[in-house]
Amino acid sequence: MAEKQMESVSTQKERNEVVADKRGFLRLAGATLGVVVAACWTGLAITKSAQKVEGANTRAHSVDEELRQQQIMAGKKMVVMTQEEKQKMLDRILRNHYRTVS
Amino acid sequence: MSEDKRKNDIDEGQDDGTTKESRRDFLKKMGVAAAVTTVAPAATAATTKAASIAEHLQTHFEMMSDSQKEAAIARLEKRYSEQFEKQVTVANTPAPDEVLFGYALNISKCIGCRRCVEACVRENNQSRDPAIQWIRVLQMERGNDTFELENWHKGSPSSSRIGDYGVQSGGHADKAVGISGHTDHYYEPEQVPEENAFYFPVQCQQCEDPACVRACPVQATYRDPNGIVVIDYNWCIGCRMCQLACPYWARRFNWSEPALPNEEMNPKTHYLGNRPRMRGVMEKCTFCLQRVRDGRYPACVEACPVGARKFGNLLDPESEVRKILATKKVFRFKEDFNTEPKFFYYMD
Amino acid sequence: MISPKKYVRATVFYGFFAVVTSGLVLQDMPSQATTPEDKSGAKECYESIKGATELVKKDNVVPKYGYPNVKCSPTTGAVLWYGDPYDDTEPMGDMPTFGDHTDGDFAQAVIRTRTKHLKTIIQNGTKCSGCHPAADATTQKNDPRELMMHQDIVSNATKLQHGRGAIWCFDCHNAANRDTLVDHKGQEISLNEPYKLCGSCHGVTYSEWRMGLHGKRTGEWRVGGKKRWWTCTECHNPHTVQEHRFQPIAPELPPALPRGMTKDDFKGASGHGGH
Repeated sequence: MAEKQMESVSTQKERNEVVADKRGFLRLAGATLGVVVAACWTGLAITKSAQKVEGANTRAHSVDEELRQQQIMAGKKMVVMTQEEKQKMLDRILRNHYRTVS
Repeated sequence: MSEDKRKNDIDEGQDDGTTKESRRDFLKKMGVAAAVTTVAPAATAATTKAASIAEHLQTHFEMMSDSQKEAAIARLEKRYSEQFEKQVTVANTPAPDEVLFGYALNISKCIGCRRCVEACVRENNQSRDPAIQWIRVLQMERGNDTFELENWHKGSPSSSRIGDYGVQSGGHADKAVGISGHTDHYYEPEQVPEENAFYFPVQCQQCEDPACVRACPVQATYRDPNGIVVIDYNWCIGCRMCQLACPYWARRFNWSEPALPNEEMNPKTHYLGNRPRMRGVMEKCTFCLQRVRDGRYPACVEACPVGARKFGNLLDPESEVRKILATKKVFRFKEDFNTEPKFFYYMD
Repeated sequence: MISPKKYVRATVFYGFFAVVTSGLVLQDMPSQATTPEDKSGAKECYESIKGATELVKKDNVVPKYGYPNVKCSPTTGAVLWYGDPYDDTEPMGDMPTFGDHTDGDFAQAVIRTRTKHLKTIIQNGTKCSGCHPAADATTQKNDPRELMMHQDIVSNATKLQHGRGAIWCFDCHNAANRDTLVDHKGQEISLNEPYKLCGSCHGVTYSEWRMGLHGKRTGEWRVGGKKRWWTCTECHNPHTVQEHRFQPIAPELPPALPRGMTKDDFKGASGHGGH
């Protein structure tokens, strides 16, 4: 009786393990698939929504760029170089050039 | 998700077979649905843009072997030729030796006609819609009421034939000099030049110490051996750091797929120059790299009807640019940023 | 240039972003470029002076790339781009020595044949000498009168501004041969080589032009390379130069305003000095 019980317990256990294994595998496979699907879905959603709002965005960005550019151009600072400054500037540029290409 | 709730979910799953079953089914359905939705567009993309995927996987242009470069260029030539329905060449002409390019622009000559802008668009295959332009011509009011001649010793603007417009004589400046008055690049008169205006074209200044190159996290933009700052469009990740770093706002970003009519496309291109760009990459003036490496003047120089634009080799003392540096009143735009531009503005 | 160490860093960085961005890029079908009709512009275009530097657009002048000789603006008819910078030119020929080191740069210089583009010659279908065969009495002394013809060139010959009243027609036009110019030493000069005449008064400008500082050139950027040199009268009209150093022209279109914005939207951002 006890033996039988033991046996049944062990088969039950085996069966349980098998089931658990199968279940675990499926769960794992399902989860993996789920993650992949979710990733794909998210990617698609991002793309789609990006495309959807693109019209509005393009405008917003370019306005932003316009204003930035205007701002940058407003910072005008022009200083005519003296002969000496020109020579020094040229020396700096040429020195840097030769250092870079060597 | 809180600890308790997650625990509950797990318990539920173990206790209740039906939930499990339904979830399994759901996942199965999801899988099929996902396969359909993701594979279908991927497949079409693969057939129509096979070259793009290969392009996407290629390495940095400077790091390619010669055979890799050849393959990359062949790929591009094939794609462009099909797309624009004509024979497109993508050159890999090397930088000439012993050359450092410099540019000089005479602001006392410029009449603001914008031919340089249009020439640039035609030469460099810029997008027509949305319109991308690498050169901006600013119109500024002449005259400067901020500074007086008696303040000369304090660094007041020098007067010139075309008026006192805030250009400060150098070396002894004790304060910043700005240009008073209105600035506009949407000006649209019947004829130019207008009275009481002067014009100030701005494009990439090809800095010797470029802020944009420092800002690029992937080295997609770099200085070529002739001092031109170039972009490997295929390596560019579109993060726009360079654009933010540039004090001249000389870089343009392709927010959407550029549109370029087939018959207006310039089929003579260079890998680092005017080949058609794609959405999501940065672009800017390259001194017409595809031309200057072949010995030709940049398109904007040739287009200028008044000869205000001069271009040449800074290493050659006989070049036009070096002679201008030697004999003219020269200044650089935003010199205080210390990026050492090789684009010089000058006056007669 | 790129150092290997930086390259490795760049590659890692790139890989990261490539994964993120690839999805977006792959979705991006090449927009079938809406191909409107050929907007390459007018057939009749002009270079620097409207009405005096006209030329005709010719297709397929450079067959390798299918380039026309020029591309012109559809809005203003201005020449914007040169497929062939040496189209319709001839060698500059010998240049007088000048005592500066610009001698020797002229070997590969070319100029456009001006007489082929002079409106008066084209319209009348004959050279100047076809109507003005020889010198007559009116050309002998400095005694300007109102012109009977060519008022479109000089509206009032008695008040010619060039030289501020000190010179008149036949100080530059050759009375003995109307197809040519003449300098103050009596030297005959071709209409195609006006610099030899202009330079005799405008010495500094002439010198700068020879050095490449004044005026326009197209072609090769190298010193001594093949270049087309723009001659004086291709940019300046000597009859009206006192009025306009350079004759005003129509500008190309301004950049497109961002969608939905008007010019006024940017008024606030325009600068008034400083930051």
